[in-house]
Amino acid sequence: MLELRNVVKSYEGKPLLTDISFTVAQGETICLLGASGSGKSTILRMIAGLDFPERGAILLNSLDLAGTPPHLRDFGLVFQDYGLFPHLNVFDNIAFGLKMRNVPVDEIKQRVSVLLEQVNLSGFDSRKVTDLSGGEQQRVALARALAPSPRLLMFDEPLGALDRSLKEDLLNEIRGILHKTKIPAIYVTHDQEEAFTIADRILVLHEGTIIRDAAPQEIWKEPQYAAVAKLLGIGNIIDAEIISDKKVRTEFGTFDINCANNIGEKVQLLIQEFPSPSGRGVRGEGEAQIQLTVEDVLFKQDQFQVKARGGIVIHMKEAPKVDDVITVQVQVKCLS
Amino acid sequence: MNLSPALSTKTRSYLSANSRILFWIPTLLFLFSFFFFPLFKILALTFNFETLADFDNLLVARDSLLFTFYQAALSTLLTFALGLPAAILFAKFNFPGKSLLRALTAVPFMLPTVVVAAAFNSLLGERGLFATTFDLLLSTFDLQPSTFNFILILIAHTFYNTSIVIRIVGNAISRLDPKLESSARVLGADTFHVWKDVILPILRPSLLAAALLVFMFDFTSFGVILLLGGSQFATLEVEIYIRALQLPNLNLAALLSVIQLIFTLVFSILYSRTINQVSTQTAPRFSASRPPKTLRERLFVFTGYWILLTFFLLPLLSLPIRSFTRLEADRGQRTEVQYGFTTDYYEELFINRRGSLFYVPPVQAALNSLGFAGITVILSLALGYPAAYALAKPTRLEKFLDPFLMLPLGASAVMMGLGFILSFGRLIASPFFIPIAHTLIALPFVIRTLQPALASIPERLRQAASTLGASPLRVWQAVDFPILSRATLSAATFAFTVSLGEFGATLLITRPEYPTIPIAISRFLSQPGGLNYGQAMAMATVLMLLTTLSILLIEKLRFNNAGEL
Repeated sequence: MLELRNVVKSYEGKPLLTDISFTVAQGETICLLGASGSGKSTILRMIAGLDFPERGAILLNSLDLAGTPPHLRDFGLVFQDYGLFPHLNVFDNIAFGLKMRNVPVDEIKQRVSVLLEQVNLSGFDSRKVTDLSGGEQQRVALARALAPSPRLLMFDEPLGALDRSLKEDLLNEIRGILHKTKIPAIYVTHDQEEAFTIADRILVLHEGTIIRDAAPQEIWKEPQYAAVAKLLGIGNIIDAEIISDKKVRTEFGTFDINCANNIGEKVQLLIQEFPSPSGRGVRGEGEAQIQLTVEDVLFKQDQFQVKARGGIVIHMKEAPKVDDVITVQVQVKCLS
Repeated sequence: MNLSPALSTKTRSYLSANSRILFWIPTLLFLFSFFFFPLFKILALTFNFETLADFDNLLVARDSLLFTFYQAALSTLLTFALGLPAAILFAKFNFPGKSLLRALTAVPFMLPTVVVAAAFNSLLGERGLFATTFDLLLSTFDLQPSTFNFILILIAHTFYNTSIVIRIVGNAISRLDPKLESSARVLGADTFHVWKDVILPILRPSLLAAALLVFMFDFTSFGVILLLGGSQFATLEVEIYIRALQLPNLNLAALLSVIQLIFTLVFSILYSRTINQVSTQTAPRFSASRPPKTLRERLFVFTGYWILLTFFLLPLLSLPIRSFTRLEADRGQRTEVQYGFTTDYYEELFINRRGSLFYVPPVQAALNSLGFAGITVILSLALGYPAAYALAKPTRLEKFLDPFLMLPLGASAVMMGLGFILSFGRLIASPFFIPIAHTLIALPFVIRTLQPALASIPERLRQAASTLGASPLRVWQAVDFPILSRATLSAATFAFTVSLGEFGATLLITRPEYPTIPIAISRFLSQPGGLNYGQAMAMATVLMLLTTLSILLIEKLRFNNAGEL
């Protein structure tokens, strides 16, 4: 459906996006994950037509969008700080896109009331948007983007300004709406929890390119890159040096794994608890035991989060004492 | 332990009702005798049978009202034609020299009307630096000199008020969330609809507020119109002046000032309503200003920069240049004229010539002005301080009295002069009425400058000082004085500047023996001969320098946003 082909963009003379290619299929929700300043929002702005790629193309159903101005693209865009029109009430905000398309008044009324119900804001029609809470404003913004039945929906960190419980509620609502309407969506965030909740596919943006493009469970299993593991908060990352074909040396000892690097090179390893507390993980290569010195223990609901020397964090059922040396089963993976 | 410091702080902070009234007495007494009593006289003269039954009076009133509206509307349009692009330029773009250019556009707003009139006269007037261009323009476009003068008035109004548009509308533009435009575009709005349905509706209160304020200033403009156009341009203000002094008909003058007052009050009320809407929309500022990127943007910034720089700098430069340049014969002699650089006009200021315009050397006008300004400073501080003190912690009494204190702002200077003539008759031959009139005009500004400074002194600071053993006098010295000294100096400079440049009221009540600088300039301008014109230029240059120095001082002393009305 939507395709980005080798898109290049620089910001104030510095390369921002060096080579971006991906596709979004009909009915699919993809999540664009990246650190702040990595160019996620710029990608959305280019898809919306508010900004232009320096090279490469953006295609919709194989048609190049380069000549199509934003108001003819039929896309929806939801911002973190809502971007609601302060001079219009809730009804007129939601109706804006329909009015621009010269939809008859009766139809607009009907459509807006359906949408208000969908985002749980029935009866809010004539309220001033400036009097609404953050969560309510974001619902209006969502309804406004949905109103003209866009061909593609884009979310630019839509929940970034909301508190935790509100975030979860609204995230589930968005998920439900996307499932029901089957509108393809691109969801930009730097929050891994949001990404795992909403995405059919996660794309990780790092240093100007997309380094990982896979389903959430696959990425969790094989982050492949240190940047991906860091961004998604998967396991622990430690420095290591390759000392032979099948051996790497770390401050926690030497492990038998095969990294595709030359001898003497520095690499980073992913250390995951094994078996992980939730039962994830498969026995196999890279299995090892390491000794950790406990630095701090935190109570977390049904388990304890243990921080050990060297910056490693693991979870345990029983709380160890500080300064205890514990032996832990882990799985070690090479990262690139 | 001595309890008196604690007690005295208490009385300072919670003035009893009685002592509050005592605070108000001098200010109220002053306002009643010199503002409300004259106002009452004007009203009494207006609403009497003789005035309203005279059909000619009503005709003149109608004509001057229509002409006032006409010129104010044209001036406002022209001001927006320059001000809107300028507001966009300052709100959206960064460029070298931006803050300097911005400051330059704000200078005219504080300049006395006589200086602005003299500056435009020196540049485009028929005796100005570009006199030949002036002749050429007249002949090419087949313009009457009066039409040209009218255009000059409109340009001078634009020069005065553009900074209002830049400030009010520019602020609103820089507060516009750029996401709103993005949202609108993505939702299907093309450029036309983005402006019509999003940007303009959001900017509307600030556009309206700026338009109302500019219109009000143009509506009440007096000095610029009289000095650049002469009495043929009979706006309400000019007509009041003519009917008060030249073709005496005090009934008509009173009627005209009441009409003027009513319209000014209506505009002020509308303005304060719209400006309230503007301030409710003070969303966080979006630092949207950036260097121009595309060719179109760069072209816009480049041309905007040079147009603004030329427009605001040229008159200010041409005035001093013309004051040092001889372009015509000193007294209309037929002998050959030495064109070029001269300091004669300045030297002549110190000479008391027989047959000159005054009984005194022109420099006496400067001394008079300084004297009047000094008295104005003392008087307005003496009256402003108690009022500001009481207003700093307002009770119901203060909230009730506050609008009355600000009412003189709504009355024009010419109207005040008329009120003095009606109320005090021959008494106004005494030169003391001039600083009294100036104090009336300066007082609202002085109070508004002192009040926030007084309100800002935390009571706890005073309490802390007194519990540490400071006597009330020491408390005042240690706490109040350092905070107040800046505001006081700022208020004093303000009163000084207002008095130095005041033209309208002074023109109506002055006597030939006591000319002030603006009066002298206007008389010199209206006389033939190169020497008179040159002296007008020289005096206007001196006044411009004095005022500019005062503005710089006030800017340096500005206590937060004190003094904004």
